[in-house]
Amino acid sequence: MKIAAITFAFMTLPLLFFAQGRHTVSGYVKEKGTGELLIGVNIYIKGTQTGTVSNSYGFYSITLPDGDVELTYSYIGFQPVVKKFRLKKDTLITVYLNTVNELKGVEIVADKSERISDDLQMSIVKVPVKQVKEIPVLLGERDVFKVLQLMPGVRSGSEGNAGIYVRGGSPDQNLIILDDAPVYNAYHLFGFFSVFNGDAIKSVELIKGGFPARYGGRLSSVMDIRMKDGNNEKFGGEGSIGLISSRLMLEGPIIKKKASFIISGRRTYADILTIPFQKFALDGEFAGYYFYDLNAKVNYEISNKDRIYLSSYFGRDKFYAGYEEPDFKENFNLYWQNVTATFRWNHMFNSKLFANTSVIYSKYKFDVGESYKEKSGDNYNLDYYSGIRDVSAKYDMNFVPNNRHFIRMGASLINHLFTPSAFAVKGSLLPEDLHSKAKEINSLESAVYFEDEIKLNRAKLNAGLRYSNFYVNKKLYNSLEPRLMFSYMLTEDFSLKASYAYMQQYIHLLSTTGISLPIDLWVPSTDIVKPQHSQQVALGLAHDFTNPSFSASIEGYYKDMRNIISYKEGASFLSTGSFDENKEFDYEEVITSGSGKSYGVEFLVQRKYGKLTGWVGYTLSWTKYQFDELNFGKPFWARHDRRHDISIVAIYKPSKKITFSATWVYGSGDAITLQKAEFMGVTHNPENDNLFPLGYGVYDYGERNSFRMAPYHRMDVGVQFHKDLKWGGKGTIEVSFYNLYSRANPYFYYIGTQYTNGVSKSVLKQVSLFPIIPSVSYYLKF
Amino acid sequence: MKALNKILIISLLTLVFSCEKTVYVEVPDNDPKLVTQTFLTTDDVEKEIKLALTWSVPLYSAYDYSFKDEKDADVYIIKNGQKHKLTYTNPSPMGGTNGYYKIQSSSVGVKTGDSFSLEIETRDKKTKITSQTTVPDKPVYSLSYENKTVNEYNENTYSFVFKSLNNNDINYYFFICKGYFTRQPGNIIDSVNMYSFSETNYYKIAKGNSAILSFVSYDEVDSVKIKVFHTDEAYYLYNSSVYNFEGDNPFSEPSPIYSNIDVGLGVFCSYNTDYQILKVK
Repeated sequence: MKIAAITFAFMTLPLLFFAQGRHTVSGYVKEKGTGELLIGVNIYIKGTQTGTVSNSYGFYSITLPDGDVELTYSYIGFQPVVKKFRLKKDTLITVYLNTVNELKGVEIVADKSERISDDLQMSIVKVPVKQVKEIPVLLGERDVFKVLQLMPGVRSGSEGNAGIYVRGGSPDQNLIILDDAPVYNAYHLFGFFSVFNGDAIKSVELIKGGFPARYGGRLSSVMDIRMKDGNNEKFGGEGSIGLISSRLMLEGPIIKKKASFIISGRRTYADILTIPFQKFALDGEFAGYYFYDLNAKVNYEISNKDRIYLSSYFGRDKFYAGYEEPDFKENFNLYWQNVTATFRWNHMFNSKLFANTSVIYSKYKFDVGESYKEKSGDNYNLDYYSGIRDVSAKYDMNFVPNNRHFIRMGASLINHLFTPSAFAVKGSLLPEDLHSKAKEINSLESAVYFEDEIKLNRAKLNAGLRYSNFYVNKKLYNSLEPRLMFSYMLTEDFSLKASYAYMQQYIHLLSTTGISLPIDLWVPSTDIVKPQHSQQVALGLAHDFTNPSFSASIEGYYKDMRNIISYKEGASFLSTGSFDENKEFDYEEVITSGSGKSYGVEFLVQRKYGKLTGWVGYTLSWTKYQFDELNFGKPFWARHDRRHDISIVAIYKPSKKITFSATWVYGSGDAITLQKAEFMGVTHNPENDNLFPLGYGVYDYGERNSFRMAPYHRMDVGVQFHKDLKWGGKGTIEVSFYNLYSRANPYFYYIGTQYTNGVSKSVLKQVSLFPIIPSVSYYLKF
Repeated sequence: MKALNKILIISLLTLVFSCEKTVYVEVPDNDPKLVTQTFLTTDDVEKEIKLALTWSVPLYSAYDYSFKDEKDADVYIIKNGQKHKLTYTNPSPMGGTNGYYKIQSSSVGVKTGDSFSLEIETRDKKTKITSQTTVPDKPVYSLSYENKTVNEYNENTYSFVFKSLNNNDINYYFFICKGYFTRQPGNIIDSVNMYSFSETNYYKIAKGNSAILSFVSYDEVDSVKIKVFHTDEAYYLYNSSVYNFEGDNPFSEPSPIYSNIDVGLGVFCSYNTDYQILKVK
């Protein structure tokens, strides 16, 4: 039945192709001066509903009636271009857009087709990389994730944390892709920064609901991050010196206007954040931390119809601590690393049909190790590691038969290799080396999809279907995932939107809730652990205002999640079996599965143009879980359940030389499980049917996640001074203050002791991480 | 493993305390509560009903972690509307300084299917806690010997198939096992308590479903005696939650301790037993 439906859909496609007296205009849209391909450019005929948008590779295709044509190419932050010509045959036009300087007194007003009311896609956040560079951040370290966290429906983990929770989903339910390659741990410095270097990024798009069929494999969000291609006209670069890291980006042509490269790297210094560790340098103790990452990409335009790309990311974090004496040294290490590589081939079959083929590699691994070495040569090493490796191929096609239809279809195949847990001990002090059996699990995930974006006068519809399957340990799962998006223009600038999405996810992240270390384990679905799936419905209104120019939207959503997993009560990644040489670590024994639901309302008022830009966002939401084996089967709040979330962002540019910015955020407290009291642990002695005292106390926690941490709020401010340098470069000095009024926000709680008049009393203490933190950075563009 | 655990904790604390600022937090609902534990079974099995009664210690008050008995309370077990008073006894069979409340099982009459209420009130009438339990049926099951395996440490693992036949949709069981063997020289019959190879001996099994039970012994045994406890849900939830309790280990998930005591903590639950002897050699 399913196969018949898909076959029928493909067979009826040709009926859409034929149209008399019409021809197609297609080509690429690029940035003038760099040749950078522009994503999401609006191409339309003014005063009509006729238009299209450039795809992820800057390609567009629009079919029009023969005759005189006036096509407008419009993109935020760029001067619109109008092309007038007589259309008689299929035509290839590559258009170059110039960046606009809004400070010259010209206030760009949103064109009709750029308005949110006109956009079919709902529940989407597009982050202009320019804004990422203007918003004040912790220690001057620009971060796209920190900007995403300021949007409604998206929240952070804890203080300073770059972890992202979208509409009540857990972090593993976010599909984070960098040039099509999944990134399995997108965080540096224990989650305080994301791995994405703003210098190398072209675009960031986050979809929270209403997922098109081309995306799959995760329940809660898709974060599509595209790297810059590199300037194919002239050499250039950017660099910065900040308090914790320095960065350098270089780009330029390899063959002018044909091939280019970009390479960007950064590395932290062992300064501010590691100063506290240096205190331990006394008496032989030492500790330190660093991270570095490198993005590189080359592309080559073989012809008008073919272009190839090769992009790669490598990043590594390392924390170490130890103790050294003249005759021995003891060392502890924790490191984690991501590697991705993507080869892509764009091919334009004709003016209506565009295809991309990708071959992708992605690997993530974390490693916890301890070593001991004596001068005599005796030594031992202990090593615990976990990881995931993907090799995949993907084929996507864009077909634009006419102006009413934009068809996307494709297929993907992923080979996942999981190593949930492995343990090894070696050393001269041991009679023999010990190795736990590293359970490696091979699996195949594949999908095919078809979606059609249909324009019907005032209404737009995106109807799609995705079929996915997953093969592991001789077990085959499959899923048919319908997707639907609908928008209707109530007036010229006011629309109603609705969406439905069924999502299936075959991989899980087994997370420890109490701590923020990168020790979570990626594990696959098996015959015991079922794939997680969700259904989400959303309904919204979008309105654009013209004087002044701003947009407002409100969206309500309801998401139902099934087969989500958690550690059983009392279990951890170090549970029994993980260190047993004779036994494979069987994660299925320490986990349990349940369901969750999340619902809420999101408001967003945003101004993208003018001297004063920014937004105000508010989210009212609820996220609740129910697991048969947790909290005695009773429903409980998710730890990241946040009732109220407010963010206000303002960027003001009074002149060309200065930019002021400020943000203020507020979030209700996290739900945690807190021990309130201790009582005598007595259980049953089955040997003699008697009471059996355990000899220790147990805690009264109340219900799981029944205690609310204090609310979180913070204000950051920053000012940037820009200067054109004599030799042609541009310099920017940024001064910013993180947590301006030094709010002591909760990071975690612990039981401490308070002494009053010689009497000690146990009390609950809150640890806060960052008071007011000033920072100064210098950026140079050349 | 413990060393690695410690190092991880130290590293984590080193990182986070580098920028700490401490404030004090008010915790609501922070008064001491009465805590009781009672495990009822039929009077033909256990002659005495024993009940522990102590006070919990709020963690955010005086720095004193001793669990004090409530010696001066009115403690009643109620069957068919008839109250049976339990009396305080010290010292406790549990050891230490804590006493317990007791009553002869036969004077109450504890039979399969009987329902009981618990009512405890302090003499100052300020605190009253209550609970209920119903004694489950005797275990109905089939049990068969499956096989024996020996690992490189000469541990003998004996596996059995247990099938639940009790007439409830979900049944709760607990098992213990004793092995018997002949010690040489002298042909002396000896016994050994066998431990479970699985994580826990608490089982939740649907009617008609089976579970594999594995018991381990260093001694090769000739036969085993498996004692089957058919328990109520409260017994299962309380004992398994205490079993899962990991204290302050930050790497482990918190394990809330089950309670079916209204306005208090602990458990008032019941079970029924049976045993079977199987030859395994």
